This record gives sequence, structure tokens and C-alpha cells, in this order.
Amino acid sequence: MGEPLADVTVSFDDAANIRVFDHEKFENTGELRDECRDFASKVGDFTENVQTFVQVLDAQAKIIEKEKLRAIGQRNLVDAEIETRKQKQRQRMLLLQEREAELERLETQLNSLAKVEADQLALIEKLSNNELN
Amino acid sequence: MRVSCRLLREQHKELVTSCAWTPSGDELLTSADDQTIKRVHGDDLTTETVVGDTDGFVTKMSWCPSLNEKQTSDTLAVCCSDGSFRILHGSTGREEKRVQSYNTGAAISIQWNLDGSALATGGEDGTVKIWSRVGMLRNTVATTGFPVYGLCWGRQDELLFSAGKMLTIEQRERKRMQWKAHDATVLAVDWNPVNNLIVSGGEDRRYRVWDAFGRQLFQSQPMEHVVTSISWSPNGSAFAVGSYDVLKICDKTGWTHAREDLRHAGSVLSLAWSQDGTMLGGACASRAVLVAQVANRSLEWKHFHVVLKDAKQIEVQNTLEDTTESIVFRDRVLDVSMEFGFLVVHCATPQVHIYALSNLGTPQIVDVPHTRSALLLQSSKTFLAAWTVFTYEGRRVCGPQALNGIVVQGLDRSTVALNDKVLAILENNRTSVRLVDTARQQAIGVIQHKLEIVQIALCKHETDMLAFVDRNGDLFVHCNGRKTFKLPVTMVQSIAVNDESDALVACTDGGNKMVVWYYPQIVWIDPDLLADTSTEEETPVLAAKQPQIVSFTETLVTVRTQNGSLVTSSVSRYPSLLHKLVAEERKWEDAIRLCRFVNQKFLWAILAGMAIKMTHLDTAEIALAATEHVAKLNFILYLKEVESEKVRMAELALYRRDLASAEQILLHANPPLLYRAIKMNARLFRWERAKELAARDPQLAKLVQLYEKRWTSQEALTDEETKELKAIKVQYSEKPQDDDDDDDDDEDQDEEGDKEDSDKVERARGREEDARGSSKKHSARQPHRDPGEQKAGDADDSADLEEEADEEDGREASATVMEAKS
Repeated sequence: MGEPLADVTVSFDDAANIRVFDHEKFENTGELRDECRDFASKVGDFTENVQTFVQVLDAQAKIIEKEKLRAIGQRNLVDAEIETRKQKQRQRMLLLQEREAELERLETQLNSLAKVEADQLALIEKLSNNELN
Repeated sequence: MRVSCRLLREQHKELVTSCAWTPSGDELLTSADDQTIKRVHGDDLTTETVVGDTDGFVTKMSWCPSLNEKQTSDTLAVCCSDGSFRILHGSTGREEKRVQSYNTGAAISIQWNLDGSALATGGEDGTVKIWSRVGMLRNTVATTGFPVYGLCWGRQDELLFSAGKMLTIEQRERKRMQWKAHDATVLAVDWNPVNNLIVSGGEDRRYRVWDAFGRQLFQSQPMEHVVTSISWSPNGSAFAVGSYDVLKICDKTGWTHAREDLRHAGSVLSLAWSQDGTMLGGACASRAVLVAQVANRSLEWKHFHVVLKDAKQIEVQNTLEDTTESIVFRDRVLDVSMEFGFLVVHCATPQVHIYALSNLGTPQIVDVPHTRSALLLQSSKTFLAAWTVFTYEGRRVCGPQALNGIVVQGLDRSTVALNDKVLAILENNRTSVRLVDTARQQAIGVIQHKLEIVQIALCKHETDMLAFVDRNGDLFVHCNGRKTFKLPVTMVQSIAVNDESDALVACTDGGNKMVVWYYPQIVWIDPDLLADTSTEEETPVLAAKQPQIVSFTETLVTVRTQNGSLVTSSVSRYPSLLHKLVAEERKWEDAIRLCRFVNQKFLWAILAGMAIKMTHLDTAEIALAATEHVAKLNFILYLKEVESEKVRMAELALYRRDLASAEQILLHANPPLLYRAIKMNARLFRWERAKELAARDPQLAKLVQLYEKRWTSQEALTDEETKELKAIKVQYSEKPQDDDDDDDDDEDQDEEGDKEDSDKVERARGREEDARGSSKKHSARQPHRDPGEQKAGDADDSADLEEEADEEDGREASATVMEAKS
């Protein structure tokens, strides 16, 4: 404060306000300020946009990753399908064998019962004809 | 048979390694790699923790078997991956003993022996060790070099273990038996004490059934995955096989009852049946615990069909009237039996519900003692449940105390038999059968046999007649007080008796033939007629298939073959009709009319046997005439002429080859027919006995002496002696009690042959042949001589007779004496 403000010119403007800067400078400054403000907001917008963009990209990336994994899985499945089918076939064959065995069992039983039935019918026939053999 | 499976996935946090049912049979203990042992109730599936931290990974568990019916064992042995085994208090989980059994590798198998006196462990290092009940090392049985995954005990404390591809049986006082069982490592074995069969499963994806001598009885098709566990049901009728995501229930002959897909269960690492055989527990690699209940067991009797829908529900189907009734029980059903018009259901309560099939609405309910082995057997008036005999009205007839000294575990339908009066049960040495009179609650006899008996059956009417098959496949019939008779068949697979008559059926020659004896007790009446009273049928369907007879109801024989199919065949209906007419109603005329109508030889032979047994000579005469047994017919005709009742009975006893009772009848007659008894013995060349009887009378002694000389010495009788003999004979013939002495004269005439009318001689010889039936000498002397052919050259024959008799006398006499002694 002790220094004398040698190069400072105090003036009054048109509206009788005290000005430290001269009129021209003052206007430039004002413009500068507005532009800065403008710029700042633009930068803010930009950041926001970028962020959104990144988010979208992330989301896409996730989806892509997922799809990728799925694709890999599918590919593996396809690769394994040959094996799986074989295995399934084996399983079904085993099941079939067991069913066939059961069928055979039941057929044997049926045959034997049919024979018994025939015997019994023959007996009934014989008894109802009442003939001595 | 099916199983309904439930998987409990919340029980454990890690792979479940092992499971075991408590001896009471309600709860399943499971051990897992989360180092806990838990308990799950079989019915309501409630869970509790027994041991929270086992301090080591349990690999296998084994419950100590209960020593007797009253005391339930509470000792559990577990082996761990740190090479130790522990003995735990089963209900609290308190550790009582810890033994560091293996220093290198884990202990991977552990098993108590059948009476709970010893413990065997198998290690990853391949050593098998036996420990005492309290955990003291007895001995190291084997060092194999392969991990011992499977281990179990046999009936006589033999130890079976698996190592690599081999199975080994270590037996006391006999050579170790070892055989290659699978093409890859054997992972599981089990040995059932009831049927004495071994089942094994391995990494070659197969399971195999072996007998106790290591002979393979069955080999399965390869499964999808390795067989990881195997377990016999306690009664030995089926076994369970565990693999990856699959549980199979197989019959003891190998065929598959049921196959259950267990979704996401992983490999079934351990399987265990509950004591009563109704529930199955499993330990799965996917942390799940498997609890399965046996369902859909079914049985048939006549037109009734019973299905055990689930553990507590039974469905009775009447196919004749097309009705179905469902019965629901409060507790688990242990066993069901349906025969003789009654349905008997043994529940776990323990109670027995008795339903008459004609009226299913009102059962009789009887409380029975608690047993671990539920076996139901029925006869027409009584049934056996929980080793107690009841009537169908629910009255208790005979308690289990009659079976004192017999450990009933290990007995099944083939080794226990029941009829209205008698209960037959195989004793624990497996070579003798005890017969118990159920009404008097006491043993009436024990049948001893040289070999192990595998199956027994009791006849319905001839109540103390028992048929049994031994290990060699020979079939015997036994009757109290009479000689055991071996039936002329070999390789008997299975036998059964009829529910209406006494007919006996057997699958023989390894299943090639089915033989039916319609009147088996004929072996004690006239064994010659045995062949006539039986029929034989070729059964190519059953050949080499280990046929087991399931039932012989009315005229239907149902046989189960090795592949599980039921084969039914029918036998003649007439014998049971005849049996009914004669044995139950005594309508001889009707019986004869029936035989005339059917006009088949076997039926006549049966009638002949029945008539002779009941001393109905008229019928016997007709029947024997029809069967063309001329000699026997002549004998009957002669018997009809005999006036004295006692003599007739004695002659009949002789005909039945029952020498002792023939003599008894004669000696106990009033007055005693001493002369006749002596004569009889002399005729049979039983000189010692004849002399003994004649000792008091010098005349008779002389007679015996003369007879003996005539038949056994080289020189012929002098004329004087002949005269003397005649004189004595005449003297005794004149005595009033010997009113019908002409048969003795016949014999003499026979000896003097040529003087006589040939026809009469033939007749006499026919009689003599039969009268002498008990000694085999006659058939030895005349091997294939048919009496009908004797007319020609009769005089020569009688001369031959004398000569041959002279030659063979010594041997025959001794044979007869021996026979008489036996």
C-alpha cells in the first residue's frame, strides 16, 4: 500500500462509475470473462457427453463380452455335441437294452401263460364233451 | 420293484463320503468332507448333527451289529484319511477310542464282522488289518500293494477284500482264495450272509455276482460310468448298485429290477440298506444325501394281485371281479404275504394285520415282538411272523422260545418252512433241521445231514414230512421215525410243495427238467411206485438259468429264471382232486371212478399208494391191477385172504419195508405170534434175531437151526432133518393162532418146486417177492424178472432160485443184517 500506484489511471466512465482500467480494457476483460464462462460450460458438456459415451461403450462391452462367452460356450457345446450325442446314444441304448430285457421277460411269461391257458381250455373241452379218452 | 428317491442337498456343505443306517433302522448317518457326521430320519427327513467336527476326513463308517434281538448296538466305527480309525458312541457321537492304524496313507475301508467281535480295516497302502472289539491289533492279514477299497466279512468269519483287480477271501484254517474279478480296479464289494453270494463292482463299469467259491454267476453289461458302490439288501433278495447319477436295484440273480436317474447327484459313493430292507441310503459326491424307499413290490395269489404302492400303502386287486381296494397303514410296511386266502401285513409298529381276502374291511391286528428280520410264512391255518406262530384269528400258537439256540438272522423263505402243525427251521450249522410242533411248542425232532442244506419244504397233509435239498443238489425226503429217502434226481435247483395236496415239484438237472412227485410219501409205502407217481417234463425255457420256484399253487408252478422272467407251467389237476377225495373225504368209490375216467397210470399208482397206506385193500387191488403190477396185485389178493388182522398188518408193514414194526405187530399180538415172527426173520435171513426170539423154546430154536443150515451151509438137509422140519412146522401150524399158515406151506412148496402146479408157484413167488420186500436180496437175485414172464420154465426157475440162493446166501444174509441194524 505504501507504493504509489504510478501507472494506475483512475477514470470515470460514461455512467460515472469509477474505473481502474480504461474503457477498452474493461470491455475486453468483460468479453474474456463471458467467453471463459462459455468455454467452461462447453467443457462441462463435453465431459458429460464423454462420460455417457463411455458408459454406453462399457455397457456394449459387457454385452459383447457376454455374447463372446456365450459364443465360446456354444462353440464348445457344438464341439462336444458329437461326444454328447454318442454318450446319449449309449445311455439310450442301455435303457433300451434294459427295456428289451424286460420285454423278453414279459414275453416269456406271456408265452408260458398262454400255454397254461391252452392246457386249461383243453381240459374244459374234454370235461364238457364228457367223452372218455 | 421300484425305488422312490429323494435327494437332500442341504445336509452337507461338501462331498458326502459314507453313510450307514442305525441298527434300529430308522435313521441314516452320513459323513462328509465338511468334517461333520449328521443324522437324518428316514421317514420325516429331519436332520441333526451327531459330530460337529470330526477332526479328520471320514472315509467310511460301519455300525457294530447288535449281538441279540433285545440289545441294540450303539457302537460306530469310522475310519479317516489321516490313517486312524475311531470307535464312537453312535447316538451321542462321543469318541471312545482312537487308533492310529496306518502311518502312510489313509484308512479307506472299515467293517465289523457279523457278530461284532472283530473289526477289519483296509488302507490306502494296501494292508488289511484285523482289530479286536476294543481296538487292539490282532493281526495284519495281507499286504497287497493296492488300495483296499472294499472289505467285508462272511458267515464263518472269512474276510473278503479287494485290491487292484483282485478279490481275496482270507479264511481260517484254509487256503487263501484269490481271483481276478474285474478288468480294472475293484471299487466296491459286498457279501450277503443269507444267500452267501458276493457282489462286486469296479472301474470296468461292470458289476458281477459270485458265489462263495469265487465262481462267477452273473456279469452285467458295462454301465455308462464306473460302479462306485454296491450293497446287498439284508435278506439277500436284491442288491443296489451306485454309479454316476444312477442308482440300480438288481435281483440276486443279476437282472435289473429298477434303474433310477439321480439328476445332479454325482457319483453315489456309498450305499446302505436299512435293517428291514425297506429303505436305502446313499452318499453322493455332489453333497447330496440320497434316501430311497422301496416301492411297487407286488405279489400274486390265484386271482388276487397285491402291490405295495409306497412304504405305507397297499393296493389289493381282485382280477376276477375287477375291483381294487387300497389299504393305508400308519407305519411302514416291512413285509407282505398272501396265501391260503389271507393277506398278512407286517408293519414296523410292530404289528401284524391279518385280512381275509373275502373281506378286506375288518382286519385282525396283533402286536408282535420287535424283530430285525421280518419273515412271513403262511400255512392254511397258521402263519409265522416275527418268529411267532399265530392263527388267522390272531391267536398266538407258538412263541419264539421254541427256536432257542437258533440265530434267526440269515434265514429266509428257503430255510424255514411251516405247515398247520409243524415249523421246520434250519439250524445254524446249516446241516440240521429242527422240527417244532407248533401246538405243543416243542421240538419234535432234528434231522441231521452230512452236507449243508440249502432249501427245505414241508408237506401240507403229511405234516411231519420234510423235503430238503443239499449243497450237492440232491433231494431228500424225511419223515419222523422213518428212513430218510433220497429221490432219484440230481442237480436240484429248487423245490416247492403244493398248497392243496402233498405234491412236490423240483427243477432238476440244472433246470433241464421239472419233476413232479404227486405222492412223495409213497417212498415209505412202496418205493417201486415212486417212478409211477411222478411226471417229468423237459423245460428248455429254464435250462441253465438257475430256476427258482416261486410258488406251486393249485396246479400252477411258477418259476423265476435267472433273467427275471416268470415262467408258469401247469401240472395235472387230477392228483389234487384224488387227494381231496381220499385224504379228506375218504370217498374210495369216487376216487376209483375218477381214475377210471382219467385212466392214466400215474393216477392209479397214486391211488394204489393211498389205498395201501390206509389199508383199503379193495381199492388197492383195483389200482394195482390198473398199474399192471402183477406181483403186488397178487400180494394184495393174498392179504385179502388172510383172516387175522394182526398178520395182515404185519404183512403190510413188511410190504412197506418196515421190518421193525412188522415184528412189533406180531410180537405184540395177543397171544404173541412168535412162530410167525421167527419165520419172518428166518425168511429174511436174519438168523441172529430169529435165534434171539427162539431162545426160550427148544423146538423153535431147532427150527431156526434147520432153516439156517438149509440156506447157509454147503450140504443139503438130510432126509431126517427135512422130516423134523416138517414136523415142527406142522406142530406150529396146528396151533390156533396160526390159522392161516398156508402161506408158509406155499413157501415150502415153492422150495420143492417141481411137485406143484406151476400157476400156483408163480402166485406164491409173487407174494413172497413182495413179502420179502425189505431185503434187497430178492431183487439182487432176480434183477429184471417180471412176474408175468415167469410162467415159462417155472420149474427151472425154482431150481435156479435154490442154487443162486446157496451161492449168495452169506453175502445177502450179512447185507440183511446190516440193513436191519441201520
